[in-house]
Amino acid sequence: MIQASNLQKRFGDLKALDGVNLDVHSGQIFGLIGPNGAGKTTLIRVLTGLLVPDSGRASISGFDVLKQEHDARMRLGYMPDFFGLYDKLTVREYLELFGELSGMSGKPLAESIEASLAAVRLKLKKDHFVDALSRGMTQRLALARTLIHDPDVFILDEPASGLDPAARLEFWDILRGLARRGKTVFISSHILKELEGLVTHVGLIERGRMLFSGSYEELVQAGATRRVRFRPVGNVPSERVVGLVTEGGGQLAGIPGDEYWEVEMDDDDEAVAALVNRLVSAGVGIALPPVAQDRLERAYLQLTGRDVS
Amino acid sequence: MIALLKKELRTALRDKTGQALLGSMLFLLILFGFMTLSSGRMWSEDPLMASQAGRDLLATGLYSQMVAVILILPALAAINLVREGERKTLETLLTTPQDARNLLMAKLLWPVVLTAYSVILALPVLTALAVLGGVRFYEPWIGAIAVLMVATVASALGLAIGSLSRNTAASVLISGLTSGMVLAITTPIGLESSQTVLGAALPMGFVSALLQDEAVRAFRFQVPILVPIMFLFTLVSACLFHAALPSLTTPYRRRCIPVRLFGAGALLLIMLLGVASLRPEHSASSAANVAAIVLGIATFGSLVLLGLERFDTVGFLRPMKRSAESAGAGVRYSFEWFASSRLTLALLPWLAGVPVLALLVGSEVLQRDSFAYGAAIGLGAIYTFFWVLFCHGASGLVAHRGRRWWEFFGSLCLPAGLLILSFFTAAREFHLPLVGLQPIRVVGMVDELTRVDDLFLAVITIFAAAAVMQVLAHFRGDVEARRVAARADS
Repeated sequence: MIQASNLQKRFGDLKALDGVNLDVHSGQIFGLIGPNGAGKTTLIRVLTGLLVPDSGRASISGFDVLKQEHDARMRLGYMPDFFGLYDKLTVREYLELFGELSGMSGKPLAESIEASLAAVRLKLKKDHFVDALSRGMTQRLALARTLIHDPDVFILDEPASGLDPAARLEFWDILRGLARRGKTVFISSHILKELEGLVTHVGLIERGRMLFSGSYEELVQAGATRRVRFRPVGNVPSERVVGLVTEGGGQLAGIPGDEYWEVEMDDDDEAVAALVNRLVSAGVGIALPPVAQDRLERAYLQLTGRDVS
Repeated sequence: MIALLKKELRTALRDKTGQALLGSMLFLLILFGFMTLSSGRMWSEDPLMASQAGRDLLATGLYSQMVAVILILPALAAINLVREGERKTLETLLTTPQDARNLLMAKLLWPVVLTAYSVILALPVLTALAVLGGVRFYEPWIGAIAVLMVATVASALGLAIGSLSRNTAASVLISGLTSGMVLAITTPIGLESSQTVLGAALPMGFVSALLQDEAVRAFRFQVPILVPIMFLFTLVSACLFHAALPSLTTPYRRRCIPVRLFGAGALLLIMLLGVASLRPEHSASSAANVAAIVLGIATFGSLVLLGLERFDTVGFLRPMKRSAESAGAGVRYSFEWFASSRLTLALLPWLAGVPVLALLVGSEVLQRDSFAYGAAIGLGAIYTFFWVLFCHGASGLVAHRGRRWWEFFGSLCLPAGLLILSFFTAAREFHLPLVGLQPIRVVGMVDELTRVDDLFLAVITIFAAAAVMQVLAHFRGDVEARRVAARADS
């Protein structure tokens, strides 16, 4: 469980965190989403105790990250955006190091290393040096390190950056497995599509402020408009089509003359159906685009009022 | 703490930096050992002369270890810390339940343990030879303690430099100069006192000046002196380390500038203490000595500044690079190379120091034999060149793991230069017509190895060297074997 209340952090004139509140429970996969410089890494550093906030408090499994540092860290598995591995150690030595730093030794440590390596499918590489591993493998090793002392909370800072789609899906499977075991998973990303289908809960952060924090479904509802794309086909003049769209409750978002028009309207299937009927009745043919825009990205754009790439 | 120490030793022994320390300790042990052995006095039938020769051997044997410690250890300790920050491995360590104090202890102790390993390997040989020469059996052990205390001082200094440095290149440059060995190894005639002052103004130069004193022959007198120095350095490095931890784990380094300036101030204080502790004959009584102090402080200060945010070793050259880029591709590549070259960085502070060096030499030249000083200036220029190449090569080795042949060559330049200088010194010993050169502090050069006993001892020394190299090769071979296996797997 991760909790934070009214976190504030300034770097000179820059407000990196501005009254951030957070409440993430066991079994949840919480996705922290925001563009570069939004405050994601600052928030993660505060949650892991690496950075002291100007005000507010944060806790891991009920333990204050600053006042009960040891207890909080015993329950925390942290994976920074840069994996932070020692090239000159073997996979086994690396995991041994972090197991021993968490107070483990002997048979329990050996068993835990085996279990962690099995979980991330690296058992065959345990005697290899870290610098001989591929990027996907180093990423899985970094995850194995966080698993070694069986923490309750996992905080992962942009773990999928630079991974190919297959490796990313494999990684997501491991995280889903952790959540099923009742662990709390907190993951950050600036790529919205990356987390689609993984997260159960979402936080949107922008300029240090948490714009939204709740379940994935709540987020989609919060940005409850739908953007429909189509290309009018036929001899009906463009002005007439625009008029029909407006009468049907839609608002033209894209520029007429583009290959596909974009119409923003209520997120309601019946309203969309009514608009289509209205257009077809007036003799406007409708051609649909091949790919649908994802809902999460649209909700984000709606709430932040900005474009991201 | 044990787990962290184990990790540091594993990574150091599998890395070229740790191997460089052990290798150079061994190299110097052999070099200095031979020079003393070859004087032939140890085998003299005069007991007094034999006893003195034994003491010479003990002193030079241990001193050779100290030279390596003073020359290399600060850089190793500094690089180790800076790299942890650069690779963000420190972040992962700091989010474990370990206390930061354990981390500090491990960072402080691993170079000392590595030194102990080398000293222990050298001790049996030293003891055996020294006893033959009339030294009491406990004296090598007291000397070994002194070496380990100096290693602690050097490690603490390296940790302080690592805490102050912005990146690896800056830490190599700063710690390279603080060793002071560049000044202590050879001295142009007439500049001895200036050199002593300058050497004492540099943190490790201060320690080395203490140990090069005549009292080096009786290490037991050095141990009490080293205790407060060791604690002072450790305290400074501990303060800086704790202050720098946030800046090592986050990119927001600007906020730490006051802390870093405090650290630089503390190091400056140590330098001034070094100068203040000199005996009257070496005090700042002449213009040359004043110039030496200015040169030492200015050069060291400029290197410290290179490590700070404001004078980021690459950042402050970026505007030059940008303007070069806009000038066209042909210019761009050459200028960009120049602007970002570690060679340039290594040269800059020395160029800044040239006017002071000219003052230093000029003030003495007016009073002395100009021919000798011509030779001295030439020697200084050659020496500086070697030093710059060494800095360049060493930082290249760190950056590219020695994959570039010119960096490997550069890193060999200082030892090679020293070797050449030692031949010059030997030439002077034999009254060859080369003037303006003083002998290296360890007196003597090879006469002739005529006795069987000498050869026997030489074999023992080489055997000890081979043993250490075997240990190193084991670690290296281990690494290589695993790498080959990994390649085969993939």
